[in-house]
Amino acid sequence: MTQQDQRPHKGRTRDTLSHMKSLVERAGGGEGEAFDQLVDMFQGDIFRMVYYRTRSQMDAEDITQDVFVQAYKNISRLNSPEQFRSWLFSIAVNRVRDFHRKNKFRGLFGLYTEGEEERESSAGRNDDDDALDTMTKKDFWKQVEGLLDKLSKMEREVFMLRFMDDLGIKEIAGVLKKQESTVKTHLYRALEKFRREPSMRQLLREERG
Amino acid sequence: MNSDKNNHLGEELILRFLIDEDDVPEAARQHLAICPLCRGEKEKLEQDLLRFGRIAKQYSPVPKRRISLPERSRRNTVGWFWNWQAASGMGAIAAIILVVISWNTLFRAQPEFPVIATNQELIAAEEFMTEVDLLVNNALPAVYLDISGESYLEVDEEFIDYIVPAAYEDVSRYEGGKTEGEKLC
Repeated sequence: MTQQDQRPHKGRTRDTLSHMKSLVERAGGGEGEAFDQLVDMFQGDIFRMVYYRTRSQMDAEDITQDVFVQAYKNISRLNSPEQFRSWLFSIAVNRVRDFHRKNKFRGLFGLYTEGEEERESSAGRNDDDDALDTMTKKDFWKQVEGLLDKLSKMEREVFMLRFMDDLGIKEIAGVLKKQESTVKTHLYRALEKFRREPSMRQLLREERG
Repeated sequence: MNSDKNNHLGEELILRFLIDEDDVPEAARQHLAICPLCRGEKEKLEQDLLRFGRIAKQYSPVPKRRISLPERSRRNTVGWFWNWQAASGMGAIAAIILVVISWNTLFRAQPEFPVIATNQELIAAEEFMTEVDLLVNNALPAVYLDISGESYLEVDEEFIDYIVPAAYEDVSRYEGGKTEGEKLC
């Protein structure tokens, strides 16, 4: 588990933020070690964010790699170091969009990618999972897919960024380059649909039980 | 306040609470503070969403590959070297262009220096040119001209003209669009 995985679910402390800010400033000044620390802090978040949207470990790893390389090349141009996390997520959102666009294009020619094969065979599976774990995970992701399919593109993105990637409204607005009020409207609609999705709530209750 | 018959908060307000508490009217906030039913409803949904995020995280694989970044020091060295090379190349090209332009402007625009020649030099040059003219007319010495028969060139030319008239003389004999030969036919 990375350092980020152990972070409390809600809220980043002021110390963490100021530490991140200083790392971003140092990395922007050309200090490679500072950027390495930023990678350690956010690799897990970005990997998962991409995984939620691609559902393929291989693709998620490739895209995460691209996101950090792009961030590394452009970090000196980042004006507000405190927005590093949002900036990283906005790069990732764009990369995922590119990925889906490419896949759609490949789909037109009937090309089946390795990532898609992987998605079919192993949903969220880790090496040490037993058959039951694998089934449970597969079932969960199937339910998630069912729920997300009912949301519009924007509702889905906002919902995922808020409740799966743990970003605040302001951060989401920054990532998607939208007004905060627009984000809230989409989130409201998404929540309405989430609330009316019995299978998802049932699944969450079972997990609780 | 948007609430139901029993003054409880409606679904809309509960959802708005989850999105941003600051957007909710003060009256609704006060109600939530004293109503365990509404608070319970809000907390239940909040817990569901938190659980949803937590399970998604838990059911995701962990990244196995470490991020590999382009070597910064190498990139910097290469960058510096490339900049240095590019800069010197550009400098050299600029210098060459400058030399060519200044060469043309300096040496073309300047008037040629007048050549002051002495009388002797002028006479010698004239004699030399006369010799050259002679050689152009008759490159062979007189002895060889006699042998080759070229000393009688003028006589021979008249003789040849007599034997073979020049082409323009044929034109004078053309009458009515037909030559004499054609008239005979």
